[in-house]
Amino acid sequence: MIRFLVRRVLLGALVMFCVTIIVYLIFYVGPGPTYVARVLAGREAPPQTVALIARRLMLNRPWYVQYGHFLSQLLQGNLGYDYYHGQSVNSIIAQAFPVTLSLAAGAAIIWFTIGVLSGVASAVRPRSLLDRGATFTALVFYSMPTFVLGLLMIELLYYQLTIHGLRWFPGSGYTSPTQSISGWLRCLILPWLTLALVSAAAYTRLARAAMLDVLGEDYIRTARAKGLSESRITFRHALRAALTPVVTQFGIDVGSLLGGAVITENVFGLPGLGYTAVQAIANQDLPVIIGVVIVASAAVVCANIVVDVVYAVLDPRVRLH
Amino acid sequence: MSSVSDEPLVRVEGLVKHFPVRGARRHGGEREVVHALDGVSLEVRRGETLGIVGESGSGKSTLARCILRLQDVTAGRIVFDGEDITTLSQHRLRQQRREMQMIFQDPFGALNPRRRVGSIIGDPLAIHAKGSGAEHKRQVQELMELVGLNPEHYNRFPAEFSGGQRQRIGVARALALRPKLIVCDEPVSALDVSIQAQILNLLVDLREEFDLTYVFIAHDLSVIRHVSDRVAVMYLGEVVEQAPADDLYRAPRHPYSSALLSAAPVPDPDLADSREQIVLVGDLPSPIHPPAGCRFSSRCPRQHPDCTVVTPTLEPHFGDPASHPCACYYPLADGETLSGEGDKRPVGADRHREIVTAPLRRGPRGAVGAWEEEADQAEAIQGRSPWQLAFARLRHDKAAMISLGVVVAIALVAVLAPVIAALVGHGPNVQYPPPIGTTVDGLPKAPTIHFLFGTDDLGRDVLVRVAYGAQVSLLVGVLATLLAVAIGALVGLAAGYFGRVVDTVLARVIDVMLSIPFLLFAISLASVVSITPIHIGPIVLQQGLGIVVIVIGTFSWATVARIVRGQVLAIREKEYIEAARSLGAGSWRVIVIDVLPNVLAPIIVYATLLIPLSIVSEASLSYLGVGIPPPTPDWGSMIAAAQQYYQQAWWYLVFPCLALIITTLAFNILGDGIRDAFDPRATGTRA
Repeated sequence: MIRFLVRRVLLGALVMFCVTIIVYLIFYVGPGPTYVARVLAGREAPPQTVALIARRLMLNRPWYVQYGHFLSQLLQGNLGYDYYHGQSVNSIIAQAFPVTLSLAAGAAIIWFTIGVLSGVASAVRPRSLLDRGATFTALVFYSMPTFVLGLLMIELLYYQLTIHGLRWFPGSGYTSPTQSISGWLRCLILPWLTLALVSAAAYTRLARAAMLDVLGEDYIRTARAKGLSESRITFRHALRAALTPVVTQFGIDVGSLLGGAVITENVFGLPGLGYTAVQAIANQDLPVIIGVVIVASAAVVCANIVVDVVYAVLDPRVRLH
Repeated sequence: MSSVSDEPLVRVEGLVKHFPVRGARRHGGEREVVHALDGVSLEVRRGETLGIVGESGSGKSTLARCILRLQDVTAGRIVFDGEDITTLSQHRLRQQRREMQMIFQDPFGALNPRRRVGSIIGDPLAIHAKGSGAEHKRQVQELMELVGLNPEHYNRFPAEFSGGQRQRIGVARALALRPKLIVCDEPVSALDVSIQAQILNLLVDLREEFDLTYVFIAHDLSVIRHVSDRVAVMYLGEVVEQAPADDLYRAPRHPYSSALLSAAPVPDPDLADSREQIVLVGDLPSPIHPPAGCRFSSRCPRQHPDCTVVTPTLEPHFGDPASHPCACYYPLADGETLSGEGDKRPVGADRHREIVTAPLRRGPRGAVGAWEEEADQAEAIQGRSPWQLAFARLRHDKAAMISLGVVVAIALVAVLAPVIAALVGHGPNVQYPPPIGTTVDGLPKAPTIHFLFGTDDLGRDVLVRVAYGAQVSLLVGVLATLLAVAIGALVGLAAGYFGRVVDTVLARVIDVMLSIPFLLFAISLASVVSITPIHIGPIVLQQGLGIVVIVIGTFSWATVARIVRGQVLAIREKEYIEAARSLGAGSWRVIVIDVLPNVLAPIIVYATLLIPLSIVSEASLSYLGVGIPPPTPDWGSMIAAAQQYYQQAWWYLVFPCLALIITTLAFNILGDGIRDAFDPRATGTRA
């Protein structure tokens, strides 16, 4: 177990090392440094000013020097400062992360519930009307790009309701739960639904397939032969075994969401990590990009480790090594 | 029996094969190993059949694979036809393989399910022999007739044959190059008894006809007795007794041989009742830590304390000839049984022969004519490949066929976009000024008879732009998928097939790729070139279709690689892969001919599902403003522009959204249908 954790953490560190190196390379091979200096200097600035700014931000150094500096800062827990306002990246991320966390956690609860329940309902009566309806609906949402669903939500549930006098949801923006719990709920319901419906579809498909597999097993027939009730068979015997692949996928999805739901946050104007990242990328603000990328990859790495551990707990046959 | 000469064809000297134990701790710097073979020496003379018996785990199959050098040996020497092949290079070894062939245990696993029988039997000819295709075909059909198959079934697939017929196919393949030696690894144990007899008789007949030499491995003693001239008994990686077949069955010397013989069933109830069965206690000891001294000592009823001190050597006892050595300090005398009751009949009655040699119908050339029954069904001779079967299933899937229609329609729209533009008379980038193209306030105009889908904020025709948008979406979807599949399949095949270091490295790379936050990276990459084009040597990277395809493909191949690697790891263990190697096929030939076709189905299925994913990724990148640059018509960037007007111009938002949804939905339904068609047993995700 310890060996497993050590190995996975080391592998995770390797992943993050590769990822940050790639980000640095992209920035320095690309027009990043010149772009940043030019924007800061202003449109009319003479080349000397641009060079001065580049020097002050150390943009003129080779990338590996920069990277070394970044690593040494990182080991002290400092992600650096953004190029434009000198704001600490730590604080930028500390502001954005709760937004992303609210979004991801709420959406995850909704999609897991919808996905698993509809998957089970479909699998219990395969080829019934309910099954066909659920799987087709799932496929439609599965095929829908997140931003399309988000915009349709805004059009239908915000705009159409609002012009008919029902101001239930704000169209965009974020209210912190410390300001107003109801405001927080209202601003997140549409993003939650968007994210949840798109993801739930995959879970319906996954849960249905896993349930059908398990329901065909001999031990389910044994359970029936023992005279157990269908609901007990479904939930106690079948669902438990069928959940393993679903939980795996769930962990991976939540992990990647914690790094920022880029599209959803941008559609609904939620200032989370994904939104921050897109802004930073547009401005070539390297320290902020790196900050978000580190959080995002760390979330994926951690989620993968947690998934493997949970897998071993759910399925006693799996051993970690 | 045929002419057995004294000159050995194969000489095995002190053969040792150890397998390292995975993940085992090292003891005193030495890694733990499984002692699969420890100091095996034996000879196979020209024209004889050497039977090898032993229970599961005794090392019989490892010995067979080592003799054919399908596995490298740890120590010892294998001399084949006067040449030491122990250290032969892979290249020379492949040449040598034409002289030595193998018949495998599992008639279902040893034939590649996706190749026609003719091509399977002709494989050795294609690998080694010169000659035209027609020449090969004639030879293959002769071989088929020889082993009792209907030559007209040349184009059928293995799945269309019974177990016994498939084993005949295996025999024909082994015979194709007229080898000197054929190693039969439990060739009949997967068949039912009546079929066993047919195959055994076929093998015996062929030996006489072609002067073959057999090494015949089995755990069924009556089978061994029927076919063998001499028998070697193996226990835990060692040969414990060797003898001419009749001697062994009459008077087994080694307690283990005796116990084995007593376990063979006797087809006579009275005799079986009167017979003494010796049940050995316990299982085979661990081959990682075999018992000291005589390896059988831990289970031997005659065990003495000194048995565990020094390993007994193979030598004749009780005045036996040199051809009947036995490795035991306390061997059994004639008529003696393990329990010491000499009056009981020695086990293994002569009657065994009766089952095996029951008269069988014989074909025209001395082989059993099993195909005759089928001769009347000659019309159905053109076999149906797994591909044809899948295609037939797909054709009956209504949802999939409708989706295919939709996909074709979208492709037509994309191709015919200029025609559509000409028909309505509006170019894709023509901006109509207010009040024709926009309202006087500069807002998009609602659908009219002139602009069926309305106009956008610049006064362009939404219908024409949506039609042109299909070009970008389909092009990126298909190209990015092709790129991802090409890289992924190559990496997955290499990792899965070559294993070891290659696999470790590539698997790590795949892990890293899968942990990278895709969208963030795609945006960073795409945005870099959207600021200014990058010059790398003569290549100019600039915003547009090419970079989008590269970015999406780069981040999608890892999933393909993971799927392919998993499939290859499973297929690599199949016997037909080993069969191809035993025929002397090189690595790449095996990968291309035997591995790739069997992973093609999952690749195709995943590729169909990757196309809509890529289309969504392209639209997302363009929506975020880093994909296809304006003014190229593109669904993602249209939606991005339209979202500012969602309160005034629903049509501007809704039509590109619908186009996107319909396209991805059609591809997804089609992909599901293709998956169900290839794997009808899969529960599927669609009702």
